[in-house]
Amino acid sequence: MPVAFRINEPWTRKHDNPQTPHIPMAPKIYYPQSLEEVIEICSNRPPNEFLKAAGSHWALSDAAISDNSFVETHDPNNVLTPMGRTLYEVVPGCLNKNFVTFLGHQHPKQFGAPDAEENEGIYLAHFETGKRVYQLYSELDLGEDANDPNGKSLAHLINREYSNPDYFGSWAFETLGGAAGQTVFGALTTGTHGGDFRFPPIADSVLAMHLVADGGKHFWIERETYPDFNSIPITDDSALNQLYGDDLYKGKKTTGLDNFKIIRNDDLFNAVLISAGRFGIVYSVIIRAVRQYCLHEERRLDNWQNIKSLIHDSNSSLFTGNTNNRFLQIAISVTPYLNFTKNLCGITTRWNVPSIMVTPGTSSPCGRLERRGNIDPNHRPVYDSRIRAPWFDNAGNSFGYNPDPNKPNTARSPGFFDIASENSDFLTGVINEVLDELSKFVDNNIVVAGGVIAAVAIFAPVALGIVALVLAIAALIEKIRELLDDKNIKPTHFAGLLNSVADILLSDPKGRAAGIFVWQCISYLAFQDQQGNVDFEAISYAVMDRFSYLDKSEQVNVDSIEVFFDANDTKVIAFVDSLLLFEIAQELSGKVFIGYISLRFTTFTRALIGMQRFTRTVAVEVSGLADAGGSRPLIDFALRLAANPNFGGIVHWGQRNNQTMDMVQSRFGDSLSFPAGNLHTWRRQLSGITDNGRLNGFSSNFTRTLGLEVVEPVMGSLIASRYSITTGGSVTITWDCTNNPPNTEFRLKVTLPNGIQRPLMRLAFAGTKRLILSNKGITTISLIATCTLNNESRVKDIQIFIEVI
Amino acid sequence: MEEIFYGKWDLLMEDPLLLSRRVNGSARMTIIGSDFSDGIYDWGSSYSLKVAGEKWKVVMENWNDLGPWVLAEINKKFWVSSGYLFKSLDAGDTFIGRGVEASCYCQFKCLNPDIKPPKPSGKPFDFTYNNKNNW
Repeated sequence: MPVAFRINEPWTRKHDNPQTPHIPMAPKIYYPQSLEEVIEICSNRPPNEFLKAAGSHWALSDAAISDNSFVETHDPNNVLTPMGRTLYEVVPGCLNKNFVTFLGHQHPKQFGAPDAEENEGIYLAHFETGKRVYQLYSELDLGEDANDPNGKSLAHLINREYSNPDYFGSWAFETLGGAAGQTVFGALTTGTHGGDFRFPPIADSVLAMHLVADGGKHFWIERETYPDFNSIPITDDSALNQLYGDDLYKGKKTTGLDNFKIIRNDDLFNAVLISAGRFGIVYSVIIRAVRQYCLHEERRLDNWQNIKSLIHDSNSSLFTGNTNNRFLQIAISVTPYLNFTKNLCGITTRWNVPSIMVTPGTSSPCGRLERRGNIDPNHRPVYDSRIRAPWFDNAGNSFGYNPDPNKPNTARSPGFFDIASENSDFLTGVINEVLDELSKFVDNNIVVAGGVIAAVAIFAPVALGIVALVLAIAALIEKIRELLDDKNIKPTHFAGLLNSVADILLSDPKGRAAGIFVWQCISYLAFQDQQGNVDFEAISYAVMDRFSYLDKSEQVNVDSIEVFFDANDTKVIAFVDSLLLFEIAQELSGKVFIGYISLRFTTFTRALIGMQRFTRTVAVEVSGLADAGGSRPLIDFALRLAANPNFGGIVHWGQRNNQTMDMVQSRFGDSLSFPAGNLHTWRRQLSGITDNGRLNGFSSNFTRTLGLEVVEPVMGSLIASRYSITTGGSVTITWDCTNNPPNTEFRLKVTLPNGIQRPLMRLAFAGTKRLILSNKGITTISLIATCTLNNESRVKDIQIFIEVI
Repeated sequence: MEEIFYGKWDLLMEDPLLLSRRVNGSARMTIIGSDFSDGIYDWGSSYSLKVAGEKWKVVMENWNDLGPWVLAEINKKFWVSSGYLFKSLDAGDTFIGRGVEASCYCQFKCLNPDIKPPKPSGKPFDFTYNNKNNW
């Protein structure tokens, strides 16, 4: 059956303006549903068709943008069948016997056991890469069906062969980002991370990948060894070859085995892991799961100026406030208060808790019903034939977890992304509260102790300044009330309402003093409500995935970047302070940024071009409403700072990314003057998979601009028909340098015995040429290859010598 | 051991303990790769100069009576003040003889306008920014 596809359809990213598709008319969009279909797409690609795999379209960068054709692992409109199956042929079918024995002798403690450790146990999940994160965490949480006598899972195998039932029960991701709507591989291959500062990003949980490269050849890729598993290989070669060497997967090769290769190599593994889709389409992955756990979340309101000096000290209270603390996020309000001297911040920390708090009226841990659903232990979820996986009522189909229905704001998401498109009712309440206090001030000149006016402008002399603004404030109050009262013009989502209020307050230069003051009051109270003190406990994914999949009155046009630094370096403080100063200046000129700056921390990743390069890495996310007048200028400024080599920030591959090849090489190595480092290794691995760049079907404008390409030519063969001729005789030279990037140029240089050079001759990648040589002596024939990308050329040559007698 | 700089910076190097330039100082800083300012700067003088160059580096060394110049570990610190990015290099305290220690410390101010947040013009409103908010 031919692979499903659509032609000339718009292609848009999740956070783009819905009215303006990022690609108005994509020439072709494929929707494969199996390995053989992915192989078919890659085998039969016409030379002028370029491919790029995409999943949920959550990335804000152009990393998933193809030059023309897209390959959807998961239809973002949830109509066509995704590649979303959990697979059992490899796990457990092709697992190495010694590895299974190793697992069989372990006895991971059950979820909720009082003595369970953090990251208890090891379980393996193998799945197609179109599976979304919320689907996988729900399946892991459900666990295998211990009552199924025909169960084919790893837990069943271990129970049958080792009489060990301890692998049944709930499993979980070791760490997650702040949302789970992405496909698992889409999230991990762009370096998505949470704020678990003792753990690497999600990508480091991957144990194996199944890659289909340009040309249709497919590769099973693992690390060389797995120290955590006593260095036992996890899979068995003969079983893998039998499964994937089947002629069903032969592509254009003679047999299936010709088209399949097993590679255990750390460099290749670490290269493919984060690669912007340049290596091909990763069809499936195996990840390591850990025993399910519950988390306690604590959030405290503070101000940035008070805590910033603690960031680069790993022993500071930020990291060690609770002994078992594993997570740190600092969300900073960009709008200042207290006479422009302070910025509120919410500090969120988390730690594992052994006890399980249950949802009242159930025996289920808090958050499971709300975020997964289907908690009846006697009825497993039905199999959904469209997604080809169990259907969970609330997975990707629920509000963010809220532990207290009477306080709907209790566990509000800590990220601007998540709240931007929420219903504006919450904000309306905040604005009304501010307006009420301002009205009292206007009517009576009374500043309420502990109120928002006193917080924004506290000094006595300043109060005089505010008194002078009373009339202007009164006029603004009236205009905002009109906006709130008029259902026809009041925006329905949080960010839109905030933007409309900002327009009213700041558009008139004459009333700007009052406008800024009221704006700061509203921002102060809104942020205080969003990031106020919180304590709650719930199952892991309910705490980590706080995205509200419902309550989207409409999608919001969000712009965002994320820049990574060494958390031990004070550079990050200077970076944030510069952004806060920028905001002060633009507020005074009538523009505001609507969004957050958020700091999250992780450890080092093994992925060669992963952004988490430091033992303690801090990721600074600047995300705001794109339509707000000050959002793009501030984000542009943040990018300018990050690009400046004195800051040397590393930009997230999956968010707005305007890096150049020079910048990428300065961060990851392999510049002309320093042909080494992580990017050098990454490019060598790409060379190995793509015949040194000849197979360029997954090249794109994004990968070429950033230099995620093979940049170094390789010399193939250069031979002569004869190496000794008489004067005036001829020699035929033959060369073959087919395996090179298409942007390589070949020239032939003939240097006569007297040192004179004949004019350079431009050559094809392979061919023959007849030369007549008359000068006696040694003639040198050089074949010179020049690979040029972004005006940077790398040159190699090869020489042969012809004696003329 | 060495610290890389890009572009144009102001160098401020002051030490009240050592006010005269000495040929053989007890601590020194070397600038390498700049357009016009390469050289050795002893901790015997106060300096204030502009250093420019696409990419240049600073090396700090210590010396005492017992041995040759030794590369010093540099503690660096970034901060923003008056809208400028500042970077200080601190090679710690160095024994310079007769029981005196000098703090080997210098401070650079980045002059690249691209990374300087725009400064608001004037002081428009009574309740707005003041000297306490980095401007």
